[in-house]
Amino acid sequence: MRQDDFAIDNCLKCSVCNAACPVFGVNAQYPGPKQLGPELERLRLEGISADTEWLEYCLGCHRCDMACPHGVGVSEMIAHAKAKHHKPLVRGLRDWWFARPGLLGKLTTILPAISNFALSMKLARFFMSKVMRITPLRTFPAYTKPNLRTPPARTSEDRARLLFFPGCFIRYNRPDLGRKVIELLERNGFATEVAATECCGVPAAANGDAAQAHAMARANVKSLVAGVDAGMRVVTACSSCGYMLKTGFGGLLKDDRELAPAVQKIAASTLDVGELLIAQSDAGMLNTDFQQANMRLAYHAPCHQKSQGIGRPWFHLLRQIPGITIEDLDAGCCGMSGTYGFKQEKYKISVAIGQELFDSINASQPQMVATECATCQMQIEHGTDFKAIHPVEIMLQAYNGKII
Amino acid sequence: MKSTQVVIIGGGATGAGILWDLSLRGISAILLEQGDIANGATGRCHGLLHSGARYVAKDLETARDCLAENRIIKTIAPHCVEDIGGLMVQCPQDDPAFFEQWWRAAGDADIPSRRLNAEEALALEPNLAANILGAFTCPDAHVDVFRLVLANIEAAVGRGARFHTYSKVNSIQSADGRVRGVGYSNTLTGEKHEIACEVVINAAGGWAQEAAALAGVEVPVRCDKGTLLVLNHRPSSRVINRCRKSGDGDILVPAGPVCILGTSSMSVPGPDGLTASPEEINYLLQLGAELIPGVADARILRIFCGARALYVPAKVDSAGGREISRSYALFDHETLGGVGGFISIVGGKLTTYRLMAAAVCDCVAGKLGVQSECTTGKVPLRPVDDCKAHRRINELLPLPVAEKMERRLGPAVTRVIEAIDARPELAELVCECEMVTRAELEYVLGEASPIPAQTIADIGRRTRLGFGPCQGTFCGYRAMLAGFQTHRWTASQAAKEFSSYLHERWKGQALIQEGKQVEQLDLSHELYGADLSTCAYSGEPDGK
Repeated sequence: MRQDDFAIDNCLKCSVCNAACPVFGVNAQYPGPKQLGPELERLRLEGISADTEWLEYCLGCHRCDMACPHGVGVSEMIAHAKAKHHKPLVRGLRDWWFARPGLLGKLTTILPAISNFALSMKLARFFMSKVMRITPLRTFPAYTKPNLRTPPARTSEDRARLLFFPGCFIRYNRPDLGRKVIELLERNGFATEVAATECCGVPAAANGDAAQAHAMARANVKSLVAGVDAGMRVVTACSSCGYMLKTGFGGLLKDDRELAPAVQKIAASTLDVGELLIAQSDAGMLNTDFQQANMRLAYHAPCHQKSQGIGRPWFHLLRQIPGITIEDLDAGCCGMSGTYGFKQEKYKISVAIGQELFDSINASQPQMVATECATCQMQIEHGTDFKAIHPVEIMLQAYNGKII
Repeated sequence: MKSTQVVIIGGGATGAGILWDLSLRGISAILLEQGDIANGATGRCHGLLHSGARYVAKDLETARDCLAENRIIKTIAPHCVEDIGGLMVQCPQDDPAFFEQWWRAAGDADIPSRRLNAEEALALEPNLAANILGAFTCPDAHVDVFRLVLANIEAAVGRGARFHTYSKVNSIQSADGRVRGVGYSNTLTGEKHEIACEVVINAAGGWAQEAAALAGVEVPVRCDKGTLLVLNHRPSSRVINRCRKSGDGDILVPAGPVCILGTSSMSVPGPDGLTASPEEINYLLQLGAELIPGVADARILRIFCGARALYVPAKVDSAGGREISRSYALFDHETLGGVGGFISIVGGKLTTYRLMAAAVCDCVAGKLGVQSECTTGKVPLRPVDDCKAHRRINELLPLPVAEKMERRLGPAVTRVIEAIDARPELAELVCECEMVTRAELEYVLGEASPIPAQTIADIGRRTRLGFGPCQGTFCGYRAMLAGFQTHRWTASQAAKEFSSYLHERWKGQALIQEGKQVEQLDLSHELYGADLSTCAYSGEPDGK
């Protein structure tokens, strides 16, 4: 018998997952992870049509999995059911695009200026709202030329080599952030190579496109495995990509006997940039050549960072910079969840979930918010007047002495 | 004093079937049940609608009856049946000669069957043991016993028949060698009542001897205990039988969301106070794992025992339970020199309940001089679904909830729609495992339902509330509150009701030795203040 068939047997109906669910917290109509996951799973096995619109409202934040004391694997059950959920045509078309940020990136970055102009045009946004059901209340991140490349080796010394998995946001929207990651790692003695990878597959899984998620997982595994076999570690600067490489591929490709060993190796070799640097710090090997700063920060831990089970490396790293005071907001999920917050029918829920975080930022009154996730940053800037940036940028500024 | 033509003792499948049959023949009848519907063997079986496959090799007549009834029940009560089909699995541990014997006998009994090799069988049921040799298909199905009994009663009540639960017959009055009436008392309130009647039918199953004694006669019945395990989910999607001479632990029936594994067979003195032993449970699990290895690690929700009331003709009195025929016997005590107007029906199977009812009703009709034919094989137990109600309930409730409720309630779903339309908060789920809304719960508790639930366990038999993994820990509490808030129970009644319900649910889990259900039971004990070491219940839930 397949082991995963037993996961529903683990549920004790304790509702801890419901208590941890951000959507359940703001919408009493939402059935909650306990019902959408293990409870409906029993009925699905019975052959009852347990398809419900609410499956679409799962954020995929994995807070239920983290909360569950019995290893039910709630979100995976929901994701499976979501993949089988039947959507109306228009939403299906929209979600098809949302599941493919890589393709969207490749197309829009052919002529970024025109794309950005089009995306900001009122008429275009009106069309997207009315026809594509994309909320006009948010702004899209600007696209730029995808010019992130592996830098030429600067020194001749033999450095530990890393494989950088940039992800779509860095590749198509913020290649400059990618270069900063590489520079930060270089200052800590690593040589970094940009991996030739596709989208990690999180947006595909979140939009219920299992086939696309599988395709992305397979392509990425094939692309990364040679480097990992050669002893390179993989680093990510996006918490969702990191989650996918560490855990998601294993779930998606569990029936693929050919790729399973590679998936395991990649999972074991993948590190968040912060995770790598905090390990350097613990070993007394972190470059602490920081300039004196003077800044008050607030830190928000993205859900997919939490679900990696690595603590809060960036919070502890930034604290080491002299002159920086940093508060861990610990105010739950931001509610953005990638493309979720862009969907017209989910916009209100998305903002309602973020309210606790917005309130705590407003109470903290920092000069800036630090968070690793690009869409958490978007949500924070959407819901408050504060700027949110990746901790990599702050740390690099500290080396360069550019922090106010 | 109430009066009627016929009083039926026993609200199992047979009694309910008789009530429906009599109502179709225009004979007035009252059914008296000492507990709730399907309180005895009916409610404590696999819920297997036999295709006869299990009996072909031993008892061709029973097999043929089963096959015919299997087809009829699928037609007259589709809402009670999950027509999932079955497999007779050939295990390497068993006698290969029997496989061939079975195949020939199945042909003789006209049981539609296909021969599958191991690969084909495993493709259909991937969780079967990898070492199986092959399988035969058969048209076995699962029948929801509570729903089947309810369907018969509801249909009969719709035609003027009456049904009283918690009514124990204490006396049978007779004069001039004929029955004249019965006396019974309400086991919840102690109230005593009498009914005048011309015929009394003893369909009391395991309690048949007790009922016969009230009329001063004897019936040859033996009680045979069977223990069954309820698994949390379905490891197979079909009924799995082991193709061998009928033995223990060789049937697995997917029943709604759960799966039932059983049984054992053991002679017992009577149907009350049955318990299973740990050895018996391990033995069943071990046998179940020979068919489906995953069973060894599966979560058991509950363990229960039932007593088959087997008919024992004098000559086989010394044989074991498995050797005794599964066929039934009808005793017209008038022709046997006993009291006139007293009929006993014993033995038989759930699958043949309608056939047994027909035989009884033919006999009753003869006695009452009513010219009639049995039509229960043709008349559907439930009218066709109301399309308008179907659309509306799907607007009001999410799909799985609507689908489950519609299957359970049928036309009565309109009552629930009215309730939710008037008070949308009634759409709240009370039992999350089995998808029972507050509106449905209030309906089965209320006087609008044909046989209102008296206890929380009664609610379970009507809705499956508390039949899921939590075993009433959360939903039982909510049911108690609902009973109190709708003025069904006073605060102290509600608290007492919940306490006894919870103890009954705990009892069913107490013998489970390991796995998640032990933790679930622990959670239940902790929530309601019981000490694990003694399992003594100390807390009183607050009915306010």
